[in-house]
Amino acid sequence: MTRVVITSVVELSKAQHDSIVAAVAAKYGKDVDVTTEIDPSIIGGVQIRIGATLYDGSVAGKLTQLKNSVTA
Amino acid sequence: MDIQLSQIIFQIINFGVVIGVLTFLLYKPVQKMLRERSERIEEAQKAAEATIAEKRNIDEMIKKTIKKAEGDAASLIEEATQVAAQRKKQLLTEAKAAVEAEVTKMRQDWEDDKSAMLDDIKREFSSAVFTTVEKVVGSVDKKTHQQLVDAELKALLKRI
Repeated sequence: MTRVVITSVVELSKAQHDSIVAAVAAKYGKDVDVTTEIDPSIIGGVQIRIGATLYDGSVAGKLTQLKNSVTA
Repeated sequence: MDIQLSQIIFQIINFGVVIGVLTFLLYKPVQKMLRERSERIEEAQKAAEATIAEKRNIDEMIKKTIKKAEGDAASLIEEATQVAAQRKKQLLTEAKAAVEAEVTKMRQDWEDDKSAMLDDIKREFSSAVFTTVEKVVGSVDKKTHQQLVDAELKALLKRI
């Protein structure tokens, strides 16, 4: 079973949720355990963690990348 | 004029006595005085010659001493000049090295300060951007958040 954690600031729409499940099932198989979380600390956007892999589309993540690139 | 033998003999004896007395009383003392005077003159001449020779030696010695002193002085001046030139060169080298070290240190300090200031500016800029974006995005409504999620999902789903 593939464990998926979806994190966002607001609750995702059904269409958004389904599109994520479909994409994960297409790659990892239909046995997917999806959990959704609301976390204001990501500011905006969405994070998808599939197992140990994090796909970060959050505003906080982008700001962190921007900060790292500026201070590097 | 009668010439009497006795008178002649008397005159001869008288003359001899006079000669003897003069010889004893005048000739010998004068001769002795002349001899002594001559000896004194000779001694004085010898002394004068010795003095002249001594003076000549002293003059020669003085000349040699002066010449040696001049040579020594020239050597000392030459040696002092060389030592001074070497010391001057050494001091210049040391001063140049010290100045270069100071300039290098100042440049390094300046670079460090510049780097630290730049890092501070970057941190402050990042923090300001983060805070501003957080405030802006945090104040948007649910619909806008959904649109933001949609935009991010398009990219994320391609990566999955």
